[in-house]
Amino acid sequence: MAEILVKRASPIQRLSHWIHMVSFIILALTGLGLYARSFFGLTGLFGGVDMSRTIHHYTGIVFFATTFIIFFQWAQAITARGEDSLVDVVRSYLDHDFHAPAGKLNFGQKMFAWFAFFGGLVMGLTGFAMWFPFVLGRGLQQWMYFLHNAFFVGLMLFILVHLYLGTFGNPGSWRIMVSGTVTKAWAKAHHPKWDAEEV
Amino acid sequence: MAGKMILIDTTKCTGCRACQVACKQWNSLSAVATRNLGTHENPPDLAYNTYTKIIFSEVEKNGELAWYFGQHRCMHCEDAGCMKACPVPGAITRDANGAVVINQELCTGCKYCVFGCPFNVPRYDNKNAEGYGVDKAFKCTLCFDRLAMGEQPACTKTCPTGALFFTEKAKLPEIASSAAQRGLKVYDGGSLKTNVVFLLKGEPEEYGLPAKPAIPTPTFLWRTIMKPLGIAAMVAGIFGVIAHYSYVGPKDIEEGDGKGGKH
Repeated sequence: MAEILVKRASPIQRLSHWIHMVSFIILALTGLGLYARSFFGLTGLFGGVDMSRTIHHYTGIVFFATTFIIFFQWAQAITARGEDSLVDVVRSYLDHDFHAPAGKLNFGQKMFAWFAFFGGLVMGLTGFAMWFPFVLGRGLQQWMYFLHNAFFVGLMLFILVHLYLGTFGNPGSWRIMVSGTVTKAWAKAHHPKWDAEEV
Repeated sequence: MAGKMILIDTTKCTGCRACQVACKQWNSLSAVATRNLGTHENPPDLAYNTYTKIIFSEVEKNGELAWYFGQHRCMHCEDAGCMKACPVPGAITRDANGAVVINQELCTGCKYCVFGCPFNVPRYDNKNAEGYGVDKAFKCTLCFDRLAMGEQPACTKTCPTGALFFTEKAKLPEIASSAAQRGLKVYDGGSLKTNVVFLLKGEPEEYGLPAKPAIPTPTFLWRTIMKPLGIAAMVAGIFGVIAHYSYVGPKDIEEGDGKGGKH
């Protein structure tokens, strides 16, 4: 079958996602260094704890900004009502012959998008609070550390699944990050409604 | 552990604040501008260069004035919130005497300990616009350096009335029973098991002490629950993904019949 390519992401969408991704990786590595005493050695990757934290702070700004940019780039697809459900998502993970009747984004991707947006928002706000800890007052500030930690774990789990499904789990998806295109077969299988209506 | 403790018999305290001065002197701590708070209390608060401060508390008891003297200082908890919060190996340690000490050589200035303390003790020396300040956390060290030489802490050494008394932690039950005979309450931080123990005539709050001291709930959830749970969840997530790839396999659209299947 000759490869027919379908456009799925614009250059600016891809660039935003790359910046978001690289900033997340830097944040995760510099952040893990202060997550637990057993991970403290990771701060050595960035030339010691002072530099590691400074990098974490300023990379955080980039991550926070791209969280909004990416959400609004995809807002229409994220908020569009689909015909697929959470059950479809779980089933399509386990059954290769089943394809959810998904639009441009399937139910799972929408869930991920909302969590990435809300999680990025919480990480950014709690992160600023940790950067300037004497602003909020003691009681509230103590919760900021807990929330930053809890949402970090949540984001790591979501991103782990996101990374897997975007690469090894669904071959062909990685092309979106590289060229912004997917094959017609990919579009038809993974996003049949989108393929039928918009492509 | 052959721990030590500072016993504070508040009934013997006269509010002379010699302990504050001795602390500043031994630890070479600079002076802080005083402020009139309407009491004899000064300096205004604990600071990176003020490790201890006498609390002057005026309370009404049965229609009469009671003047209580408390002390705001590091309590050297055996279950220390600052140590729980600290992310740097070795930056806050407890020695054999029970002294909880911040090592400023290792402190990275994250301020987690400042907010993890149940008694609001550690203070941060912020580098200001003129470049003064070292960006580290400070607090009472129980004069661990004096203890190492067989000396007692500067504050207990100097106390002229014996209100501050340095002794073996093992003597606490004995001291508690004699205090009970005198109608005094023993305040040892409850489950935190502080190595600074108060004998109080009134309620803890009347001495500026929390009635039920505990590691702050968010700090507990963060460091004791979420931290290990998070590591377990992330490791489980990685294995989960590997398991999916191994047992279910990728959903390969482009190979074969277009419906996918195991590769």
